[in-house]
Amino acid sequence: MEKKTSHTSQKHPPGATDPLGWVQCQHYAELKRWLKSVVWRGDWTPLIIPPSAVPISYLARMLLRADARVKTDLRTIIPELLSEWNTYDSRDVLETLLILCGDLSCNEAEMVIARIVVHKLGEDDENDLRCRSRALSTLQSIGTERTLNLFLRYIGHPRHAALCYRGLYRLNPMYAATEMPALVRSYKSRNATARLKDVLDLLFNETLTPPEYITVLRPFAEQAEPESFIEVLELLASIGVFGPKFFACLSAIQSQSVFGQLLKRARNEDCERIVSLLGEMKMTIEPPPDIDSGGLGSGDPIGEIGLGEPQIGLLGESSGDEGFYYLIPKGEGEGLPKKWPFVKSSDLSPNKRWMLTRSGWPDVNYWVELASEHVS
Amino acid sequence: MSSKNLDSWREALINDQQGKIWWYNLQFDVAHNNLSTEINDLFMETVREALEALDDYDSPLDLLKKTPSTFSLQGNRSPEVEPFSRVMDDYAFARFNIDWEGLGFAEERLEDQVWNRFRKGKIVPASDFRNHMKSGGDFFWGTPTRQLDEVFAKLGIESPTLFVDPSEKGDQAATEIRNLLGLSYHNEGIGLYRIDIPSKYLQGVKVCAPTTLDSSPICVFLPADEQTPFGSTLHLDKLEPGAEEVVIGALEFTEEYHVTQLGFIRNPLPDDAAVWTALEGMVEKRHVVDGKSPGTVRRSKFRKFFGSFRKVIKSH
Repeated sequence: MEKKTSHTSQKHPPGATDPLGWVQCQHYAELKRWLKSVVWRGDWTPLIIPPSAVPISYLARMLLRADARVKTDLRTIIPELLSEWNTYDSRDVLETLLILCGDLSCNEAEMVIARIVVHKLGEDDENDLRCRSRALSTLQSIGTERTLNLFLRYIGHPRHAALCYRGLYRLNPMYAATEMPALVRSYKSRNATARLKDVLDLLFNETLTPPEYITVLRPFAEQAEPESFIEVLELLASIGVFGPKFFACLSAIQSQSVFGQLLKRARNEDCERIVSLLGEMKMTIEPPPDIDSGGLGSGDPIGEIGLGEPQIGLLGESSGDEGFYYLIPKGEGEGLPKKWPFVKSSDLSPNKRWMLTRSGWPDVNYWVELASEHVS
Repeated sequence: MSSKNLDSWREALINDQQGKIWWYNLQFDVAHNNLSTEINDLFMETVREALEALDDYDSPLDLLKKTPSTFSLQGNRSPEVEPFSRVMDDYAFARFNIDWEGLGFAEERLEDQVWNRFRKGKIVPASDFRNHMKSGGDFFWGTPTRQLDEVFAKLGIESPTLFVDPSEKGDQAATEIRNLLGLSYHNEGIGLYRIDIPSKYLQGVKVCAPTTLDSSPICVFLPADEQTPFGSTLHLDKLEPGAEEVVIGALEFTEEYHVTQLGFIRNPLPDDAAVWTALEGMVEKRHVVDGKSPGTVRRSKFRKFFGSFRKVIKSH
């Protein structure tokens, strides 16, 4: 018996030349049935997808062009489909649903995704880890305060750290500072400094504005471990964060605070690196015109001294006299004592050139300790 | 009953414009040895089995979606190894070939985040390239790199480059390449990347002219013949044969690939009816063999295979 075909009057089958038009004609139940068929079985009937297309790309782009009614339906359908997914289903199915969730802002799926992440995905399987990452990426888009705990739960995992960190500070900028020390420790322990640089670049160069940098850097400076502190500053300098544009946004007092922390947290062995850091910012030293040259020996040169020169040590804040700056001479015991006059902060020129000061203390370690002791 | 079902199905297929194009292309593939008769026979047997399992179907094209991936990458014509390239849309590239996980990117508008980072030179191939080159199956469609180089040369774009500057020129390149490659599903506003494949990755990998079984009824495509080892796209703007094309087995995507960010497609797709009418004309014209229509040739083999000689099939 010959099979019958239910031909339509159209020259082409439904959906062949206008797939979006066909989708937009489907009511809720049909749309859900069809989408489930596409995602679970790869059966797009009656639609046909181009063989050179990446299926999820084709699907998502089409659904994103759909009218408001379809999108509203999808924002319920997709969370329902996510609820129907279980651990015996393919991870590809889950990943597709998560991608669609994020693209279509299916906010209703937040708690479903959280349950999947915690209770339905394993800790070791590569496919589960990939799906968890995809879920966390989706939650960055649709998550609310309820998702914070999820990000905090997984921020320590190497695969999920970047996603969770970004998810946290996008929900609450405070986390950018509070989670940074642990994040840095985690990346350092894995020798993943290059990737840490990317993570910090996204935070500082694509999320924060320069005036906001200090809100993250100050608490970080207070909490960071000495061994990672300078390294992070160097990373930030390499991506243009800890540099001229940062200091340009700071008031004189804020700058003092930054340098104060620099001294307070830095170790003696970091001296050269700090000098190098400041030198890369093209900070040169000029004596002020009304410098108190008392105590200078005759013939002592007063001139421009660059930070890169070996006799220059660390910048710091003097004790007792507010707003004074001095340079600590490196090298000790040679031609001592040297007397270096102090300069007041009010003498600073607008372009942030630090005034040269000199003091008569001979020993750099002593200087560092003294600076640490007196810096607030 | 089986042969009648297949006859009915074939009649219904040819009665549909896209179905006819697809069927004629398949006959062309077999007649010109792009595809072995064994594979073709196996495919028809698969269709027959699918027909028997169905109570009904809405469209004869539905049967063409039920074939397994065993029919992909079965072409007999393989070109000499030369540099090949693939063009990918920004959405797919961002989600499947970039380490969004390590960068910490959100899913929403992921393609924009990757696009902007790429443009700033912050996508580092060694650490950020991931996964494989493949589409829905374990293969992808490619084109000789020289075809894309010609577009670049015409637009005055120096290659290799990370991205096309100014952006207007990049958009122009994206639009022209979309049309050249017959990417009839890439609408206005989609961003494109050009991905150049190092030749060494093609060693031992199947690279062949696409056959009808690699394509679908909505694929604007012309099979190869004895004159060329390449299939051909349909140029969407000129409505004539466009670029040479191949299908390539899935490849690992590494930092050794050179990726160029093109731009955003700026022109709408051409009128659908015009595209299909043009393709139909080309397919009908090139398929006349020895004074007979390919339908007649194929139908003779068809009847011989299924052992039915009772019905005389009228030629078109």
